[in-house]
Amino acid sequence: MDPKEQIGKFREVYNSLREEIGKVIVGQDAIVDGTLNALFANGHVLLEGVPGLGKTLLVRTLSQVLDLSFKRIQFTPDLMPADVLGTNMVHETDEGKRAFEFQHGPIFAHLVLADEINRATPKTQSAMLEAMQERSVTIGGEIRKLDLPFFVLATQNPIDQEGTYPLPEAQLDRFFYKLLVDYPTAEELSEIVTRTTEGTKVQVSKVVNGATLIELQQLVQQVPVASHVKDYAVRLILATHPNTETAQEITNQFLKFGSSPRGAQSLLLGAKVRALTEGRFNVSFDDVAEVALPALRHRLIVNFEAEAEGVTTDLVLQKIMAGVPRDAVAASVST
Amino acid sequence: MSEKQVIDAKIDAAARRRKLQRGWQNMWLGLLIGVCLWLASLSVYKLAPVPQATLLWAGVIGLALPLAGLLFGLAKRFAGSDTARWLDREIGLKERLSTAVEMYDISAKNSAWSALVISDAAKAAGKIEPGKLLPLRLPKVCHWTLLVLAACVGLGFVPEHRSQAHLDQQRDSAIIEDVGQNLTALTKLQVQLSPPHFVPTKDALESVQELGREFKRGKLVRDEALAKLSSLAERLRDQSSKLGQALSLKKMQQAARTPPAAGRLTKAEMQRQLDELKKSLGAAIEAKPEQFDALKSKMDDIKIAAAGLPDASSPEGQQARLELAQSMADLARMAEQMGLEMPNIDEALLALESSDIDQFLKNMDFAGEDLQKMANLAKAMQNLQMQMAEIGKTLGEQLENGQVPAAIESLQKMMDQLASAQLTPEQLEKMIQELQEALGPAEDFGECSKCLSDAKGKAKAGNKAGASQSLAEAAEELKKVLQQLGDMENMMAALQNLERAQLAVGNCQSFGSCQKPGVGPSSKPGGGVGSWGDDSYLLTPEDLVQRWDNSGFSRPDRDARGNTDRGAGKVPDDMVSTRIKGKINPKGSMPSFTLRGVSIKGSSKVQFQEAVTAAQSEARNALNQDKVPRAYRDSVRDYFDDLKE
Repeated sequence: MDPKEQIGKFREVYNSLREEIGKVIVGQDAIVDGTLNALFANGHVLLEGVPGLGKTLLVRTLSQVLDLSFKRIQFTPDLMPADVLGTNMVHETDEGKRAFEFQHGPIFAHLVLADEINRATPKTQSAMLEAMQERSVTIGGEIRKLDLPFFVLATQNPIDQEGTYPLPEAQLDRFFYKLLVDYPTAEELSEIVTRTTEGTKVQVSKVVNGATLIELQQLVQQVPVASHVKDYAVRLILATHPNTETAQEITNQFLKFGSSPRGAQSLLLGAKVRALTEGRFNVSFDDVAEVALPALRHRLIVNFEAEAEGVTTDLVLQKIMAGVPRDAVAASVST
Repeated sequence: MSEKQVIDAKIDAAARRRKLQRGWQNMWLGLLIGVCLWLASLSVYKLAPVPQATLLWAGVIGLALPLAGLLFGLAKRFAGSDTARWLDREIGLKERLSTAVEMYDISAKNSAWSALVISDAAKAAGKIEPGKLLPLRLPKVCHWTLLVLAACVGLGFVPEHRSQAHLDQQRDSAIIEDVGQNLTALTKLQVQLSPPHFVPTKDALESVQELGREFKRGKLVRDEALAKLSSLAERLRDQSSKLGQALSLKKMQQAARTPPAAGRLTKAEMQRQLDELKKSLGAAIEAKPEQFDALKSKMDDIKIAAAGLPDASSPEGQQARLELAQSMADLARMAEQMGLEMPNIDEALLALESSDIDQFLKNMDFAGEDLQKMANLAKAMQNLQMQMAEIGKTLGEQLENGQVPAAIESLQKMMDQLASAQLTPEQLEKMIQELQEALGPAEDFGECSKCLSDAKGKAKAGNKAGASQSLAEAAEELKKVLQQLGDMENMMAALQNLERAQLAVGNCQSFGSCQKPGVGPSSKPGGGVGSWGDDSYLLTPEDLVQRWDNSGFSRPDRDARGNTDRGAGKVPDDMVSTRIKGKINPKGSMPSFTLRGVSIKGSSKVQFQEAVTAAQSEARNALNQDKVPRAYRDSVRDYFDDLKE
């Protein structure tokens, strides 16, 4: 198909998804956009916010508008990896023989909601690692491919630290974006109250199926990126590495570890999706800058000093972005 | 035009515009830096004793900087990709252009995407107007430039702050340079006018010129300059005294001094000059200088009377006009008797008749100028006649008086006579007699006496050719002596210049103002005194000659003013001017008198030692030039030697 037509289709799908989700979710535009951005970039999303902000509702709505299979896993401390991945069960065949049969876990779905993921033990959390990165699981020495598209939406609560297990760095790095769900504004809250207390039922329709989604994910990867834009993304990532030549002062002061190369991939892929949603055929500096916070905030590990001073990774990232010139060549030529 | 071409055209236009604006901005920046540099230099110059050339250089650099800035800006090359990025940033094209430029050479695999991106970029590029994007406005730096320029102008009115020591040093340097320039110019002119014939003189004059050049470089302090001047003057003095010891030269110098030019011109040359003067005088050839004075006096009376003429309508006025007309008629008659043609007097008469007193006075002034010229010619003719009369009649007398050119002329005449077939024995005898008489005086002129003796012997023996040859050798000897005199005069002139330079440097005065009273560059009395004392000597030889010869100028504004009880320059008839030669008794007391003048207050600007050196130099010069009576020379020398101690 002609790229122009594909792009037209992309925008059409995107806008329809946005419209359908908007029927259910009031406000939270950045979260909705971020989630859709990660969906088209073929990445997973970690949603963090206090309870009751609509995280689960968002994912559930998304499952309704996508013509895809959806599973929800409520993570609890006693949840075992087999509860997520599935297990081999002994059962009697029609011929009366006993045989092992694999019982698919909830991970075997296109869209998986990992609700309150930080309540599960690291062992169970780690069960997600292979699935999220390789789109496959290994059970009993057998590798089982997951159906594509595969999309994990995890939520976690930043409060109630009692009985929670913070996600390990390796697990966090698998998430394409980490989106911080904030409180709604007064108008949004008023609208939420109206919708949820008057018994009105909202029907959403399915917009896109799996095959089309994969096609659009492939389209995203073709969006061209100019060398200096790519260079900007790389310089941003390098600037987060403490105690290196490219590190900034704030990096050395507050960061223990910087972003992995997955951060750069997320930056550019997210920027590409954003370019398409903006109706452009190329990636701009703004696109990269716009997705930098959700793509990198969970990949940076702050040190003790930062924690003691209450410095967040968002603050560090904003300072780093302010210190890294967008166009290194143009910055040296004033006119 | 394809989409690529549209993009390229816009990028090229923007690159050109960037280059132009960069040049424009750099030019202003250069100007600001230049003006700041100039301000800094001016500030430093006002406060510190830096040379004036610093300002000049700062100005040159200040003017060169804007040009350099402009050229530097225009020389900058902007790559297409750079300009595309710049346009993206300036217009907010979201990297459309730069991505499109990078996708020009994209592989066929992505050609569809490439076309899409390029098409999108071309659409955006079509709206770009580089002229509007980069208008050539006056940059902000321009305001600062104006501010600094205003500060420069303001600073220009602030007086310079210099220490007295520095000002003194600066003045000394200027004087030394001025002296060096004058010394070089004068010596060069002297060499051109009278080339030296002998190596020591050439060397001496070259040393003076070299010293002048060294002074001109302005690297010497006053003490060094004085020391060098003194040393060179001493050397020249020694050389000139050695030259002057020859008796013949003394005689020639004496002849050259009194009367003027008699020792230098031949009789024929003097006769030629006399003829020219007679021709110029015309019918007034018989007129005496005293007659000219009387005529001048009469004209002055008439002018005074005309200036105070009463109104023509009054009877007194009519009477005065009649008297004036009568005086004019007398004047015209006197002029006619002297053989003078004075058309201005006739015109003045006409003006008087028409009561145009201003025109009358103007015509009288013209007539006075004509009269003065004629008087000068008459005086010159009289002098020349006197000089011719003083030239010796025989060869012996001429040699005795040191009149070498006349002697050479006489020898030439003798050679002509010897070569002539019409020489009678009486004439030959007379010639032998004249040669015999010249043998004694000729002893002071080197080999001349011997040559004359040979000539006499050969003439007696009838060997006319041999005699003629010997006479020619004698003439050559005399010419050599003449050359020696010329060299000595050169040496003396150089010495005089050096002494003037010593005076100038020692007294911190300009070279021109150190002219000795009574001895001007033209050797005319009064040169360097009064109204013409401010000549700078920085002129070409032609200009110098013109300026020296100011005999044709009339400066009534500089005429002596004041009242005298003797009338308007009239001398009573019973008074006769006489010349009395003074006699000084060597053993008597030296006459002295006391001068009362205005006492000069304040401290001297000249070191005592330098003043003494200058005074000694002058005294030595006076002693060498026989200006001090012989009887007092020792006393004068002792006095100045004591001063030195």
